Amino acid sequence: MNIFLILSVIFPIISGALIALFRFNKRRVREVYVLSATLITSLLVVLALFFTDDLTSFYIFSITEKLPIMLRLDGMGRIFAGLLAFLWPLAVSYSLEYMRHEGQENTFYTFYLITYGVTLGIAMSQNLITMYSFYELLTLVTLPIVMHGMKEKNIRAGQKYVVYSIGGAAFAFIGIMAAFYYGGTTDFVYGGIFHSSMPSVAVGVIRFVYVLVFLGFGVKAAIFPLHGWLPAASVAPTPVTALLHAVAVVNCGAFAIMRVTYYIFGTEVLKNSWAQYLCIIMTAITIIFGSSMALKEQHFKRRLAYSTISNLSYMLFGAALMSPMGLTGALSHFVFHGIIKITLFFVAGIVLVKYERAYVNDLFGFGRKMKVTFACFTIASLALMGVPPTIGFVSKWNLLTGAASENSWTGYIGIAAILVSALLTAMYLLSIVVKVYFPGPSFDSKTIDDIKDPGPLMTVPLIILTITMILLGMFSNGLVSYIQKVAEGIIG
Amino acid sequence: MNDFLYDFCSIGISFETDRFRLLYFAVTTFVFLMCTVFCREYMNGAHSKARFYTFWALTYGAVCGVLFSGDFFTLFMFFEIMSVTSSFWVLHEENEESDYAGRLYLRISIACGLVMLFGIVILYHVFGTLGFSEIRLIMEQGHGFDEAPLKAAAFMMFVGFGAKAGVFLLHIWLPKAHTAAPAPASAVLSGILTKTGIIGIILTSSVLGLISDESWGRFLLITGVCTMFTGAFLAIFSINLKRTLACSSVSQIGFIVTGIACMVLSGGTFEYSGTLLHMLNHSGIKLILFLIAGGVLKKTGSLDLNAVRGYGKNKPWLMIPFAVGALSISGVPGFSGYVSKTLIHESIEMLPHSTLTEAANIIFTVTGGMTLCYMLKLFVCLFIEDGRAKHAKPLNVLSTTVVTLSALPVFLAGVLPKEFAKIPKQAQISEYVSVMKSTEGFAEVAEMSWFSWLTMKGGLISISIGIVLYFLVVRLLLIRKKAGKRVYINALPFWFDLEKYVYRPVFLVILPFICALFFRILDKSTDFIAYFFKTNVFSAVRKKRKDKVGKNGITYVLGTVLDFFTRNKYHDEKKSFTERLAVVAAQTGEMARNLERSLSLSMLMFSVGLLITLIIMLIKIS
Repeated sequence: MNIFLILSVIFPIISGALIALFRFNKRRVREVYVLSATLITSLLVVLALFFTDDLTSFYIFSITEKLPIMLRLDGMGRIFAGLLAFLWPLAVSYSLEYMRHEGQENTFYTFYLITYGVTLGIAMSQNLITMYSFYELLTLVTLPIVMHGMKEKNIRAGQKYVVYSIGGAAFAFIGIMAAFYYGGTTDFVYGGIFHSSMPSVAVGVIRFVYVLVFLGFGVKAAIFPLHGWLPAASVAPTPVTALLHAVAVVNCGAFAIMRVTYYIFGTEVLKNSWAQYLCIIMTAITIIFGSSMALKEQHFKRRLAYSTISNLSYMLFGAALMSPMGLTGALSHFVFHGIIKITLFFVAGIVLVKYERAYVNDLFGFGRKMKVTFACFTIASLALMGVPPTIGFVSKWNLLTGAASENSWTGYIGIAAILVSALLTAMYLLSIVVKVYFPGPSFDSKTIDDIKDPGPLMTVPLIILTITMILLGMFSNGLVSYIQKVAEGIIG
Repeated sequence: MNDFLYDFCSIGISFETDRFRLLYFAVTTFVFLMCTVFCREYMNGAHSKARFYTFWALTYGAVCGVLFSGDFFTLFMFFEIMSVTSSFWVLHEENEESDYAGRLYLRISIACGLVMLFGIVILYHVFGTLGFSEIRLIMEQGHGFDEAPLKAAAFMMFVGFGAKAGVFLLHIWLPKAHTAAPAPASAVLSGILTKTGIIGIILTSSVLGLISDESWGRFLLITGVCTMFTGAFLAIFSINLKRTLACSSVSQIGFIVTGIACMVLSGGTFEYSGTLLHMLNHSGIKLILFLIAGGVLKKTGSLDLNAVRGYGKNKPWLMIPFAVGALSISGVPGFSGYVSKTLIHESIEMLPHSTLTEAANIIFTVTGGMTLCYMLKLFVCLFIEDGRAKHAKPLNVLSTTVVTLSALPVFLAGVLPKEFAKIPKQAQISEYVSVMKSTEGFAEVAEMSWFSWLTMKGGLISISIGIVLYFLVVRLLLIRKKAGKRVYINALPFWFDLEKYVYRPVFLVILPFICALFFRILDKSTDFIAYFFKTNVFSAVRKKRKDKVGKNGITYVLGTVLDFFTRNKYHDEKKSFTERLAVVAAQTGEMARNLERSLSLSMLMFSVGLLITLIIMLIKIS
């Protein structure tokens, strides 16, 4: 039943393109159309998850004989695709209410749907060349929605985004060449296509290329010197920042890095080499850097963007540990961070679009009126800090134990960074929580008289996400053991 | 159900129970019950009652979870939940003081909780499990565990638990938070929540095989002694009713930690008895005292000693419970505190003699006296001195009953020391039982003759020190005449605040500054490199060098040659090839530079390069 693979990639792209063609005039029709298209896609993904096996792949076409574009769902792809299928409908539901305030909805939904298909393409890629193609495509299709407002600052942010991403992808391209030259294939194989028995010159080159690829895909995962585009891109409408810049696009970067690390380069040639050390150090710096900047930042969405930078590097750190336990941690944070961060962004978007409060200091007393919204925010904050029994704790625990099992400085440096960052996380999120619930004695309650919770299109996704955060945390065993099997190469 | 517990958070939680836990569960329930009933009058007319009671119930659940946890993960989880939910009590009043204290409390508990998590991760790495009994089993079977990571883990757990208990250097939040919270909450914070930290320390020491570990014991002893002295010192100089009680809590926690240090150093049950009894005492006594302080606040609207003076006059049902609590905590013979303090004191004396134990012994005696001193200060202020507060209304019948009922167990324990001293034998903590050296201590405790001169000697010395201190320090230093009235003054200099003038500057100013500087430099480095290239290599703005026209070597030579052949005899500048070629060269050069500087060209070149590599690759492969 491989047809589901191609369908779930093609369907949203076509249905997105149709909006551009027909340009709905009636809001109601468009909203129903967009929501049902998203739901159908998610349904297709779910069908694909259940009815395709790991071995067969869907062949689309070949660039040359040895460069086929193929789709396949293996363990890691399933995790990503499942996450997307869960979050995308919620984000669309949220954006239906949000975009009423922004305008130009036809253009927006066109690309929003196309992005869904492209991101699924990345999740379902069978080989590096396919992933690379979708990856480049992703930059292009997300550009219009980053520049959505078409004001000066939006265009600036868009330019920055494109320059960073294209430049990064070029680095990544070198990886494809290396894979071909030394490995003869670009297929994803658990354990990688290179072996340490290769000539030492080749190993040296491969390690060098790995660092380039790590940096290249690291652009989307906002690794330290290349993070600049992410905070800038928070000028985009919140459904974009929430879904793309907290989950889909940035996770694609992290996903690509995990893919190339474990499925192309392989831990065998990389472990305990300078390449690994460099990556570990970079991620550790990014973890602390992101959190520190978030603490300093007063703009709500930019604060969350910096927090994303820090959390993405948790995943990259786990990936760079080059051990199954590290990958387990990375993948669980990959899933759980997405769920948490999208919730936080949703809340930031609600206060921004409804009441035009962009800064953290404008939110005094809001928790008293927007009860549902900020209850969700509080729980999500605790989850991101890693308070048990939420999902944040589970992933942090997996990362920490993975790092501790390394028994070397590479692990401990990461543990230290993660714990310091967790403390900073507590400070930059709980300071908001305290502000919204305890505005202080000099607070004038008249200023929040007309504040109230948004409509069900926004609150229902928030509630679903929040409940997921707690329940999935408590009953995480199934998912975590699946991830563990994927990381150990038993599945896929 | 078992599966659920096993799979929880994919680590699994487990519970266990023993007599000790059941006893403490009973104490917790009693304290919560008394406080809840007291809330009826105290919270009458207060705002956000629903929120308060929600977090009240949640915290009760979390405390029970902490008590009955069977592994470090469960312990950690409930501990964190407890920290978060109880912080809402501290934040409850929503004034400046509670805001400050609540944030401080949250910060400290979360930071130290994370340190504890680090310790737990190390434990998990070393043992592969977190269950108390499993770790004990592995410890007994296995050999050659690396000491260093275990000690490091134990220290980190100590930081986490110690922060909640309020040990020295981590106590800074405690006086502020306990003062800011509503009185029933203060009673629970002080009576129960600090004890969860203590229980954590006992568990850590026993499970990780640190009993009879010399260095660990010494560390605990030093910390305990410092804590008790600091707390008592601050309590004497405090002129706020609840703050005095809160500082007293710090001091009493110091006594308990000292007791644990003796347990660790000797591994006996005599020391265990002292520690456990003092924990029980402190829970009970702080319940009475904080409830009374709450009543005073409710009726007089203030906690300042000058404003509440004489409130207790003609209110015997307030005075008797307060007297029971105060005398008991001061260790006066005939009251329950005397039993536990004597046991801890004896424990210190039984330790092998060294400078440290000698010093600990002396400080213990002095601090015991200081306890009496500050309690006397409160008692005199509330019940003997005259003041306007005299006419304030008494508590209603229900609250008075609660206060009296709370005092009853403490009173009974004091009257029946023999029976009271038997409790530890009945309520042993199973983790400690499996590692202790001998059980002879219980017999020794049972044989103590509580009212013999020898036993009472230490207590009586403390009491006399306390009375002397009261007249020297409180009457002479703290009370001054102002406008014909004798008032309590704040005798400590304003900078005497570890948190405000050491921690805050270090953690909120100096450290962030250094980090910010470091990251600012790193953050700007990319921009700087770009800027550097822009201004130097790809410089966009260059001065036009008119004077150089004609001085370009090639064009000059070429132009001269051409000039020669065309026989340009007029020496007309405009027609001279030298000049014309030079201008053309300059223009071409500029255009080329402009082009090469533009981003689009670099992208174009990049794409061309990419394309070429792609083509080469494709040819090579196919």
